[in-house]
Formats: sequence, C-alpha cells, structure tokens
Amino acid sequence: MVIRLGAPFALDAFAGGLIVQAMIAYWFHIKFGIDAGIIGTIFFGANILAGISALLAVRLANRIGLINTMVFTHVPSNVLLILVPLMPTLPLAVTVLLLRFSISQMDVPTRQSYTMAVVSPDERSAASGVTSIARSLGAAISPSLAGIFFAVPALLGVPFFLAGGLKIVYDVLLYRGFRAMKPPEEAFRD
Amino acid sequence: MRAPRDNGFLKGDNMVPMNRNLLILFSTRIIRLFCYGFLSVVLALYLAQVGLPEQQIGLLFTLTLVGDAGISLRLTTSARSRGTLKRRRPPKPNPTDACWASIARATWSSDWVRHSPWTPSRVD
Repeated sequence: MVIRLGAPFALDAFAGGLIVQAMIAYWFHIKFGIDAGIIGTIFFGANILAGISALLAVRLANRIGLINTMVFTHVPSNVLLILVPLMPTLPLAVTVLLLRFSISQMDVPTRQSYTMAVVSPDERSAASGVTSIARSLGAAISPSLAGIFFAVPALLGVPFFLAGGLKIVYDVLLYRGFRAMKPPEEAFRD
Repeated sequence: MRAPRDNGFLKGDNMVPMNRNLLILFSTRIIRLFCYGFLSVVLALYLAQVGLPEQQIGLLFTLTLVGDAGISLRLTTSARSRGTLKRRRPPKPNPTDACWASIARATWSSDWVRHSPWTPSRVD
C-alpha cells in the first residue's frame, strides 16, 4: 500500500526537482536578465498565493474529496507550468507563474492527509517516512538533469515541459489507481 | 462524534485548539521555511556568478538532496525503532549537518573557488 503510493509520489517529486525554486529563479535571470531583487518579489507573491491556496484546498477537499482536489488542481497548474517558458514577455511569464503557484500547492496538504488516512494508524509513521524518502530521492536526481538542459540555450524551456508533463502523468496514475480508494471520512459521508 | 469546530478558516472534527506544542511546531516551521526562501531565490544565481557551470549547479542540488534523503532515512528509521515516545529526539543531527554544510560552503567559496585556476575573473 505504502509502496504503491510511494512510486507516483517519487515521480511527482522527480518532476518537481526539475524546477526547484532556485532553478526557476535562475531561469528568469537568464531568460529575461532580471536581477535577484525582482525575482525575490515574484516569489514573495507566488508563495503567498500558494499559502492561501493550501488553506482553500481544505475547503475544496471537504466538498469534492482529497483525490479529486489533488488531481483537479494539479493538472491545470502543470499546464500553466508548461506555458511559462512559452511566454514571450516577462509580465506574461510572471502572470502565468503566479497563476500556477495559486493552485500548485493545493495537492500538498491533501496528499499528506490522504496518505495518513488510507493507511492504518500503526503504519502512519512508516507511511510518512517511506513516502517522504521516495519523494526526496525522486527530487534528488532531477536537478542535475535540469542543470544539463539549462547549459544549452536551446533547451532552456525543456525542464518546464518535462516537469509539467511528468506531473500530469502522475495525476493520471493517481486518479486511476486511487480514485476508488476513499479515506475513511469520505467513505463515511457517502 | 463531536460537533465540527469552527476555527474560521478550518472546519473539521480534528482541529485542536492552539497549545504550546503547536506554537513551537509552527514557529520552527516558519523559521525553517524562512531560511529556505532566503536562500532559494539567490542560490543558483550566486553559484552561477561564482563561476559554476549549470551542470555543476544541478549536480550540487542533487548531492544536497541526496544528503537530505539520507538524513530523512536515518531519522525515520531511528524514530521507528525508538518508538513513539522518543520520536521528538531524532531531529538533533540536523543543526550539525547544516553547520557542516555552511562551513563547507564558506571555505569552498572563499578558497577553492577564488584561488582555483579555473575560476573566471568575475568572481572578485
């Protein structure tokens, strides 16, 4: 059970590792030549939005369920991620990035909640450990890949495409594999 | 079953009132993420400015995260073997590791990079 969940989580983290915040900042710098101060402001806004969205995710999950919240917010957020490097101007790229951040973190609290809910209480510690290590290892490999792409100007956008694409694959896997498995509090409601 | 508690934003059965532990937990998370955010925006830019090629910046992140995964693994296994009661203790190694990382980074950027023959002149 824990392993079945860990595998898609590792894929998601691997994709996430392609576009760690430091690399997005670096991307903005080489693509648009802006300095760290402006990039800092962009991320300030992005993370505030992400924080608010994480709170709203709780309400959404109450209404449509945890898995639905994870999948239905994550897919559009990663379509937006793929669009970021396609934006011709800085304001457009920033807008898309902010939009992306305003829904991209909604799967985080719901994912943790789901993992805890579908394993038995005495498995929780193990489940949390195994999934977080699966995520750490997944995320560890990919920055070097991103670095290789960033080194070639023509492939600058590739980490974004790859990350967005893989994250959508993760959503599909998750939806197909776990849609039927409801956490106890949702099964109870039905 | 208890009636759902209304905490403004969060509604649910499992919301507990604010207590000391929760406050400490929140504070440590805030400090940790503050430091993370402090560094994450400028780290890659800094490394590039110091003269590291992109492949090596990526590799450095990979190695950092491998270390991170190693620490998580160590903490989780020790937390499990020591049982629930002592679970709060394992985070101890973390500050030490962070110190080592800082020392390594400081010496590396001041000596290795600055005096190395491959370093481009813009480092100064």
